[in-house]
Amino acid sequence: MLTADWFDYLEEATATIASNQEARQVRQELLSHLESLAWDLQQEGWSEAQAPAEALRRLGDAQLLAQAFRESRSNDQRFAWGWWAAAWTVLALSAIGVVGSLEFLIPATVAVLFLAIFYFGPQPSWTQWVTVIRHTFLTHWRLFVAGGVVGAIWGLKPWWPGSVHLIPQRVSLGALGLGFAVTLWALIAEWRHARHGTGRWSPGLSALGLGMTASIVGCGLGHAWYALWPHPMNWRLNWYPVSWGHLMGLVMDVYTAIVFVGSSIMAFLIKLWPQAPAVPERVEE
Amino acid sequence: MVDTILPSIPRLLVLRSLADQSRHGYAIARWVENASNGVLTLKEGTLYPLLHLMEREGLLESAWVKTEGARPAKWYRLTPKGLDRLRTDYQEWAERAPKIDQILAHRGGMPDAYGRLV
Repeated sequence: MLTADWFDYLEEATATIASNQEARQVRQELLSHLESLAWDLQQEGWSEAQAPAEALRRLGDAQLLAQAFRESRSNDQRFAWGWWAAAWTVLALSAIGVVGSLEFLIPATVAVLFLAIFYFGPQPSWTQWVTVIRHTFLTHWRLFVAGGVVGAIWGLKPWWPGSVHLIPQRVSLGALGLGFAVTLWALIAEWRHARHGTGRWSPGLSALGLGMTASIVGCGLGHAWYALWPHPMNWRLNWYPVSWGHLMGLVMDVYTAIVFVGSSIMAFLIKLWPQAPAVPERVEE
Repeated sequence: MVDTILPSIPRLLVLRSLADQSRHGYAIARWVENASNGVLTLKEGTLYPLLHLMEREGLLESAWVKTEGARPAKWYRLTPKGLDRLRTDYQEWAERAPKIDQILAHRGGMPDAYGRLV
């Protein structure tokens, strides 16, 4: 009797629970409730096709349920921190992206970011992360399509006059660093959520991956264009000695290639990934 | 404190539903509905966060039980602390609810459509 709607509901209803284990238990408990209710509805005369939807309707608004879970833990500081952490991390990502606009800081900022997310302090559950990602990127998918277009234009910056060279250079590097970090963050969160949550990949992940890939491909095209058609205002060599410039350029190209290929493969895999909802594991007390 | 003059009704109903036997969440909700002849419904949005809160407070304890042919369900039962709380809350309810009713019924009860107490 499992339906995809139920899993979307269960994920949304448990999005405010900070503990992965507790969120999983609540999902299983609600699933058990839904099954019992649907079975009773069938005994009352509802058809096998209609009973699951009616059971879901009677269970109520998933967001209200999520809010009730949050409020029931309102005195729990760890929980409060965990809930807000996801939102704050998005802001932190933006700040790190700005700092990461310096090319040589990108690997360091990415490392710090992942340390901050995965090792420091209390953690939001993977469902929380995924909910934030989905709400952020699915709600504003047009923004990300536009971001991809803008990224492509940034990538072609050697066309531009030297007077505006430095600013788009920094913005493009910032976008690369932020895009790289956010893409990895989203991929890891989705993957972990799929393993520890309801076992489903987000359709929005492919949109995010493609949006980021579009941006990075644009920059990659710019690099390729520049390699084919050198420009006197070489933005790498302006910053560093020649050897360092070449090294950084190589790092950037490899980095771009990894993200491009990785995002493409992920988008492809997600498209092929079985979307049938997995049954939550039995929770042993 | 007027706003805490009565025990929480959902909490009291959950405690009472578990007084005679352990139940899972769905059974608690149905018990309340049936025991009130369908007048009272413990919405699931209230029930599950409340159950988890009461469990954290030590009023309930739970165990996952698998019955044949069915998905495992989380069954709840009262702890000794929960039983004490049921007694206390029920006693408060029995003492105070009639007083509330008395206040509400004062001078004829509810006003009519013109705001007059009749």
